[in-house]
Amino acid sequence: MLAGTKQQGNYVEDIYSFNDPIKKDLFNKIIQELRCTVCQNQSLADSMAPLALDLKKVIYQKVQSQQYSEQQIVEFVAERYGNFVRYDPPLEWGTAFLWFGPFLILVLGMFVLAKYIKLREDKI
Amino acid sequence: MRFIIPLIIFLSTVGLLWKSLALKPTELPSVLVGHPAPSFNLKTVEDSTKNVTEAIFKGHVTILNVWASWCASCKKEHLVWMDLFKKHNIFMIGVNYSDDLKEAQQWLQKEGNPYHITIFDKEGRLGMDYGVYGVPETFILDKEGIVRYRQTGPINTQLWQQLLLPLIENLNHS
Repeated sequence: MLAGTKQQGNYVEDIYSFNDPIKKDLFNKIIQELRCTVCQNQSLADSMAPLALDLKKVIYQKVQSQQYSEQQIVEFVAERYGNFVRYDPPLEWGTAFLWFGPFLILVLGMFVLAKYIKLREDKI
Repeated sequence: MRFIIPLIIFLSTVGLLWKSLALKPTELPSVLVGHPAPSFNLKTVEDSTKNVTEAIFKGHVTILNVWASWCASCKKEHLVWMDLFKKHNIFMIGVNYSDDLKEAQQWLQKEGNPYHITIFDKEGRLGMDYGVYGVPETFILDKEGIVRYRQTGPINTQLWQQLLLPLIENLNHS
């Protein structure tokens, strides 16, 4: 359904230059933990989609200004594009299965195993 | 009896996979639905001396349509909008997204203009605030300027008849 993507854009990655290594690390960390909505299997860091470049530009400016924390910048993007863009989504109703699903399956598996063992013991 | 559990596992796997066939990963839920339209202050395509803000949404049900002259499916969708515009009394605002002003103006002249006004979002910042990630996109706003619906990708007459028109009529009467 993705119908059109922007064609123009600056394809030079070097525009994100930092004089402070702390800012640089922060920038790299943020763009690696956000997903690109245009090419959903890529992070913002990997993506060259024009929207990803626009977002990286805004994130770059926010990091440079030093007025925003990592959390604030990630939230800025998630507020607009949804928690789907986070590789580390927060715990809420829609994502609860991601957290508790494995335990559910574990309990289920143990239940099945117990039944199976009991069945076998009964036979002997 | 011993086949029951493997059968349940098999059937639920099939069910899960079958259901996921119909999912469209590119259709993301909009964060904006139920919230007021984000504010902006931008020029229009028609008049670069006049500024327009989100106040324009107040008082009528608005169809906010995001398009660009470089977007091929916008052209196809535009034919549908032109047709609907002639048949129905609809209030449309355009957003020209990440585009060239001259090309946008020519596009409207050539393809026809169903928009009350078209907001010129050259930098794509309005698009970013509205969570636009693939044009065309369409938002439906109620009379208070609250986002009620969001559509990613082009609309068609079927969607209009089944979903958009009933929604707009409903919002008009409330």
